[in-house]
Amino acid sequence: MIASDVFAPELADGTYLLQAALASGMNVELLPRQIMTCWQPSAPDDRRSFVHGIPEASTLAGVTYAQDKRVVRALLQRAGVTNTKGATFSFRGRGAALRYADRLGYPLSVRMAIDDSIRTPPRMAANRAELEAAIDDLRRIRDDSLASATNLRRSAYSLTGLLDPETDENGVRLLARATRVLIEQVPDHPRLHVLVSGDDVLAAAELPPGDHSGAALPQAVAGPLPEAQHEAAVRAAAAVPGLRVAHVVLLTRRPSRLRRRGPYLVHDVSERLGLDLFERARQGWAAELASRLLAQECPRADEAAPTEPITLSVRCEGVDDTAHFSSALPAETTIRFHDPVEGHLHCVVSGTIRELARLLMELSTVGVDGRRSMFLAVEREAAARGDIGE
Amino acid sequence: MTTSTNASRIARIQLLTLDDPIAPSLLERLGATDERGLVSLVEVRAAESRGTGIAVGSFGTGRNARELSWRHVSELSELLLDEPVHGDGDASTHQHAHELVAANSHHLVSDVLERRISISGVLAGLAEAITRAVAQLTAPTAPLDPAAVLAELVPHANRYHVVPAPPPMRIDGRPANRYPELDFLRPLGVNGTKGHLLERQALAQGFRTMRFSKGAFVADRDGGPQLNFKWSRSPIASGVSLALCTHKEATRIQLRRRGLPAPRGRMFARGDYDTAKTYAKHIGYPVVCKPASGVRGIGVVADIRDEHELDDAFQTYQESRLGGDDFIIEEHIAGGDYRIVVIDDQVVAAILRQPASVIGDGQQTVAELVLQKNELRRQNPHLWGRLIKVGRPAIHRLARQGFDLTSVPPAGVQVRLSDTCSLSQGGDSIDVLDELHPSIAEASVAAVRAIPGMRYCGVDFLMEDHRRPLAEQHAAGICELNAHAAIGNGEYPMFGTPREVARELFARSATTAGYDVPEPAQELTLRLEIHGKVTRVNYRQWLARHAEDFGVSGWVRNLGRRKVEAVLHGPTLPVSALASLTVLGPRRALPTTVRTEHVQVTPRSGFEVRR
Repeated sequence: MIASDVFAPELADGTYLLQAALASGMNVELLPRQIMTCWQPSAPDDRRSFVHGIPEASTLAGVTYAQDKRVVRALLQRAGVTNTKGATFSFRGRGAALRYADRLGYPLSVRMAIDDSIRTPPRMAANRAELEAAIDDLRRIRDDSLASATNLRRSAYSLTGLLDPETDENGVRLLARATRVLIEQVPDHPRLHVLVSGDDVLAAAELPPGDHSGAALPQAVAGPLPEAQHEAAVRAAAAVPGLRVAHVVLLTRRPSRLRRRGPYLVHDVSERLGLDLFERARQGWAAELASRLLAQECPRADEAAPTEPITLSVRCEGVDDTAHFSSALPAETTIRFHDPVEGHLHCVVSGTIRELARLLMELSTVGVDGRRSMFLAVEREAAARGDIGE
Repeated sequence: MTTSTNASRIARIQLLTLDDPIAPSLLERLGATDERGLVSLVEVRAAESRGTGIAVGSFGTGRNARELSWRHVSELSELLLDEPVHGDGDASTHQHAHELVAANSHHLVSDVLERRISISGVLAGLAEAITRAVAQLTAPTAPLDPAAVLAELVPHANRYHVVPAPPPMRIDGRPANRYPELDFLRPLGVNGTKGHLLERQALAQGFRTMRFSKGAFVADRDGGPQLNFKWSRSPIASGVSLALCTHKEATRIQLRRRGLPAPRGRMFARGDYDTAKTYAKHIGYPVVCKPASGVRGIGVVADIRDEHELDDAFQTYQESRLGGDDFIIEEHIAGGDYRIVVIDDQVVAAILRQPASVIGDGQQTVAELVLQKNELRRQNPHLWGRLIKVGRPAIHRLARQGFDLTSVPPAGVQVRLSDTCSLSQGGDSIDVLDELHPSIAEASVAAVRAIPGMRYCGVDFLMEDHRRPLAEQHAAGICELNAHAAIGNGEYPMFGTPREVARELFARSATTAGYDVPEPAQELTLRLEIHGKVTRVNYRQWLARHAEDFGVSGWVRNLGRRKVEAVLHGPTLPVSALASLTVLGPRRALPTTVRTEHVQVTPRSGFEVRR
């Protein structure tokens, strides 16, 4: 049965972009890891792709750099953008990390220096013991870290690193000693989350002080950002070459001891959009932003906006259990064809755009009881063509 | 030093060193003086009837010491070739060998054990191997099993030298390539070329760079946009392309939907073996089983011929690090394994990868041929850390062909030591670009176009013959696309013409960003700022030593507590390699960034350490 929430933080961006494409009357193809290619039926050769909502125009080098926090920090410094005080250490250099932390002073945050997802909240440590525990915890390999369900939530830019893991005396699997963590001083001040594209700030929302997990309710920033904040966010995004869109996190209130370093500290720059945060600030905001981003990437995006409810022809390939898969589809779904051996299935579904975006993303990424379709070709029913083994 | 039987002169000398210093000097035994010392003779043995000997040992401490000693020994060996040996026959030769070993075995073994403790992991297995070898040689009653001894020792060999030199090894009439820049690249480490080659291009074309690690740097010129690279991840590929290509099933579907040759297959949920078996039967054996999003061949089993082998393959996949992932069953394509490198609409390199093998000459044993081939691989900047492995799978593969390490294969017979074409497992790389049929090039370019935002890619193609049209080949298919294919593969083939992949990739990245691309400079003068933990760690002395080794002039000085400044001048190859190397530094250094820019001053000759 379908149960997972595709609007969960790590999957929300891709789902909102899919929703925006359907709302624009576009045809889409979906592949694992929320890879979406979309185009207007009138312009089949003019296609754009996204992965987890990240546009194709964001380069491989750009997203790779964005995931490496040591490199991001160096680039920010090079660009003259002030960031939080911190340093990276390998697990091998645990002792040096602890000594550095003692000098820096607590509380501190610790997180992986190279990480696929901005949504992983950092561990906070109020003292040395907590820091040690946090480092040890980060090093432990979760059982599901290389499982398919986890895999599909990741962009996989850093997956290919795959440093050989180790095993401790208790048989616990650990990340390689060369793996690095970032230890940083994160002052307890409001966090301004800014979505930046080029020189434009697309959205900004603020989280209150003390919220390191991002669980608190963000407040939408009404109107344009103050010039200094705008400039800081744009410069931070530009410091990492190759990002078409960037999610920048600024710490906005100046702590007295950091006053000399400037009024704003950049805490993070990510290639992920983080639309769920803006949705929590204002309902419907994520869908608006996704439409705007889609229009930016696909100039013909809103050529043929449909009226709800819509009916879609969905051709699935690489379905690992077509019978199980089809039984979990909504009752009103029409199954036109299925080949259990080849794993092909063709169905027609109707619903609101939001419902169908959710359904398609479930079928593609989250899965039906773990069963997924590796490829979905989605067209408005009127324009559907039969080209999969029928 | 060595032995021969039924001969008054040494006909042939082979020197073999292991991967760590072990004990005192063979040179001493020969009356020569070398304070670093060539270590003790561990084994003096080999096909005595052919008047050959193998000296196994190791010497020196530190990279330079080892190189100096090796050169010394190599030269000495050639002089010795005409010298009379100690013994006159089997008995005295063996006796002499045993005396040598006995005299040194205690020191040798205890030294190895001690080092094993102090250099944890580096010597894993070596102590046992030596102990066993010594035991065999010193116990008069113990029958010598040469194959077993060699199987223990060959995997630990790090240098091999034969006097007189055997004829050069060839494939299809082509001799193995030797690359003069190896000495500049080796200090960068096993994957050094990956991270360096693009920076070399950037610097040669007048860009300044900022390096963050061995793999990552940004480059810009005249206030233009920054170009960033990490290994071969470049500004001309999209993030989407890597996410797609690292998912094998998504790649396969994408290729097949565009009518491109890709193996028939499909993915199954973890544990769904029954359905997978039905499917394998449906498409017909042989098949391949692999994790859906694997890398580096982890958990992959190819050429599965029946259900029984498929069960074994399931177990291999499940026990692998990617056993938690879904898996794919697809048809197995028998044929050559090719890596075709595409940039935009152009194939810039095509490499045939062959499983590790040696070709018999009717004189040398398999072990000697492996050692000789590995010595050739050590002359290759991309392969010097990727040697033929003589482990259990290789021994098993030899046995299937009726050989062991002491066998002397007939002249011209190819002996395989591996089933995989992976270069990391000792496979050969052979350039075939000029012979590639246009239809294959066309399919490779089309495959790259099928992936959103992909402009640089290594296409892994399985086919019968790269010279024949694709349509005429019974079996051909693309099994993988690599969004960040290693550049050194095409730059440094073991056989055939090297291709300028890095130059092309950098040029496309630069022109896309609006830069013009001049002819690369043959000489550079660079000013470097190295930041991080770089003072009080002998950084300046370390840099001076490398500059002298590389023939680079200039100077180095400290600038404050965490910064070193240097100027390097000389030919592009060594200067750019040294610039890349500075981000590593000596053992206790921790450089964080290196800024490199061009300067006009020409330093005096030599390299100066300034205060």
